[in-house]
Amino acid sequence: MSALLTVDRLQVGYGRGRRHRTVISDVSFEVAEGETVALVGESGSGKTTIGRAILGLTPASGGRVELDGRNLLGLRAAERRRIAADLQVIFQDPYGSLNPSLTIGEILTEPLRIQQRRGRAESQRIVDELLERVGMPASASYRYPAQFSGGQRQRIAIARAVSVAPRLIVCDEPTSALDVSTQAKVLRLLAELQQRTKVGYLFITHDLAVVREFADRVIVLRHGELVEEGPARAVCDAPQHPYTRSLVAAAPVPDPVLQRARREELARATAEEFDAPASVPVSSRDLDVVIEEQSL
Amino acid sequence: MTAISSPSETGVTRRGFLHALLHEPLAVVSLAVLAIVVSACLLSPWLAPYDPLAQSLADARQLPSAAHWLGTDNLGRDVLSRLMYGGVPSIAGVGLCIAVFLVLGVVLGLLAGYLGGAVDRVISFVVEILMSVPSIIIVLAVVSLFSRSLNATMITLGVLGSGGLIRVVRAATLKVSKDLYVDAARVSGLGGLRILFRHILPRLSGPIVIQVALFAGVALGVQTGLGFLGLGTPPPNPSWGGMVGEASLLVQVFPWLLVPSGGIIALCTIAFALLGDATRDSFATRVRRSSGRVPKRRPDSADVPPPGAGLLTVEQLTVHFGDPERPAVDRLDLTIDKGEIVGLVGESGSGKTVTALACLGLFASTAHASGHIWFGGHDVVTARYRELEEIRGAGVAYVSQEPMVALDPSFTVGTVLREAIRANRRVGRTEAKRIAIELLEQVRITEPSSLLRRYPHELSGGMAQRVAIAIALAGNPSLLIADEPTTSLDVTVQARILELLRTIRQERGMAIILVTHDLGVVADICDRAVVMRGGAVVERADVEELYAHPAHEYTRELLRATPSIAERAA
Repeated sequence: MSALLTVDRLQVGYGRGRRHRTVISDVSFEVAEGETVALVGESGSGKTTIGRAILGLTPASGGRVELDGRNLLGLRAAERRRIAADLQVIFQDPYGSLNPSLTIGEILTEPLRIQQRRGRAESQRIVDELLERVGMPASASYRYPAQFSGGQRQRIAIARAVSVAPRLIVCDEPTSALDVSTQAKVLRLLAELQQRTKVGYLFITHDLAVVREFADRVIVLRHGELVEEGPARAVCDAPQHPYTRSLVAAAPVPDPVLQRARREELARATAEEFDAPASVPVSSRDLDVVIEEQSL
Repeated sequence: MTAISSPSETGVTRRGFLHALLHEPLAVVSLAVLAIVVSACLLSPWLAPYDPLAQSLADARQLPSAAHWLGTDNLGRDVLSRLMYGGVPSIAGVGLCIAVFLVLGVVLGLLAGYLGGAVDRVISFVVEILMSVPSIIIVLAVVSLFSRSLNATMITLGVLGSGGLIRVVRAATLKVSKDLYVDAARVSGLGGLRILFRHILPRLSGPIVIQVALFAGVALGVQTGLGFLGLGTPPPNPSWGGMVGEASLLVQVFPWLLVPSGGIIALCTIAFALLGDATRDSFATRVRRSSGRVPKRRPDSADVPPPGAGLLTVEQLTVHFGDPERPAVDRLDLTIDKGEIVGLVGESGSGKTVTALACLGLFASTAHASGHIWFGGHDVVTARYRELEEIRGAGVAYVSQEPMVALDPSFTVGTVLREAIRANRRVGRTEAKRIAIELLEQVRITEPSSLLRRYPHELSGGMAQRVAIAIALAGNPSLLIADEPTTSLDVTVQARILELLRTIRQERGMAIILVTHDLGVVADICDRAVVMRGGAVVERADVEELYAHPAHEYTRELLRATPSIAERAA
């Protein structure tokens, strides 16, 4: 598999001079055609910033990002428009990502008509097909976003993303605002579309359990740095880096017996790891609070 | 989860705006008045009963009559006709002024808000100058420079006034352009102009209409004011301001003359102001207040708590919001025993949060509740405010999904915590502080005394949730209702908060109702779980039993849909 998306030593920072703060430092990875790569991290890890930098919504301060060998950084509006057909996005918040004052039909035909210069009738035909493919009735075209539930809106956002037949979709927490059963359906839809079109997903999420079941490979981020990278199952089942281990250990498993065993094991491991000098009487819990305090 | 519970939260739709405006009676009346005045003036050559300049000294200074509806002036000219003709320069002046105001305000405001950077700085600088110069002096200077040209004056006024609109539009643009759908449009490769005019501008229509309506009143005032000073339309041609001026000379001998001319100006100014008000009202979100109001149901003397009941007993609780056919909670039974942690599990719309809030006696003002919630001998459903005060805090406490909501941003942690302590116990300030530190130690905060001086925005999400739990513990409750307490937290922080809840239960023997959508969290901490769907309980069991042998198909579906980080046995 050749690389569809190449991210090479990407850097993002804010401010100048002494007030400069690095948000992303030297992150490199690749996404192949038809592959799902998950970017995982907690809040402040920079996972969303990487997605926005790739989409051109946040300027990068260094490094190289290429889609199919074409540079993606520092593009002018006209150049970005040419890329737009190949690079699309699905956001987390299905309420904010659709313009509340346009009908679904208007939202979905807009990129087709403006960007691909298709006629009105042809665009509408494509939209009807798209709606069917994402499991929505064709009548949805004439309704406004406010008339749909979160899951339905996310389907519409997916329809908009795939309408121009992109090569890569950046999915920024696409299911974290959804109910679990809706999440399962949306993930199934994404997987189905991928099988059919060989689209690559850069899947940004905080949920390792979703990563394990949905992604091919995973990249773990912490404070803007790449901590660990590898096949999703392998990383989740046998994490190498201590930070990844703590993430995996903290994720509760929907099985009380297994979860109790994991919890007890974790307590034992932390107790051994922090077998601190006698002068500092800390339990594992107190230490956690200290860590949290420091990261305020 | 709650984030997607109400589809009406998002902005007003295009249809919605006009629709909402036409549902405001004030707006309809104002628009109708303005439409009638404007059309009467514009059609004056055809509608006016007399020539506005035709004098008839014999009929001078008449009160209203069948021949002259609004009477006649000093020279016997028909006042109604003069009002209709005289309105034309006023309307033209106000129209021109508004056009300049609107074009400058919207275009510059959009550019400043959307492009930002240097463009924004230059435009904001110009706005600051516009807003700091004394406009009436400039207007008077322009009047004298352009020898009574009303057009030049009104254009100047429009330019000077546009500063306010630029600021409003800029601020609204900044806010709207942060919306994700604007990012989505950018990623789609749409041009900046198209994004501005098709995706951003329609969302700004409300604030713009308000500003225009208010400014129109100002413009009318200035226009007629200039006429009054004799700087507008030269006599004998009529103008509203000029007519007020003429009437003011005769106010001793014929006061009536001031009524029609002054009245029409007042009427239009009021109509503009009310239109602005009505527009703002139609935009104001109707907040559904969640109050402690007791739902309408009289306590039944036969109602007594069931013998041998648990700490909290819910019997046949039904809550609906206006439609009894579609209850949010449907004949729910639930018993919580001392010291147990019970998970209330369900997806959005399952009624889990409504149930949890009902246990605190919190019902929305539109809610109709029936059934019983027994706690400490009281029925929470019918309890009076006094009883509820007794139950809440000291009996049942609450921790919400958003810890920041529990913390008032303008007070320090110490102030909020001491307030909660003193609401529940009769203690002095120093004693309250000692208890506050003790509580913070109980929620495993290492330097409690320094934390007391901090403000909520200085806390991380996990710290804020610990503080919120400390506040909940202030009344020493026997039951804690935690509504999605870890949903907005990172997974490692979630693990610590759950550990904290477990310890508190052990130390205090406190029962916890944990409302959650996350079956992983339930598996981690709960003793029992109640699975809800569409307001009803579909299954209840000890967690081990529930996960090992889910009886209901819906529970099985939920379990299947929940992803797991580790391989499950099943």
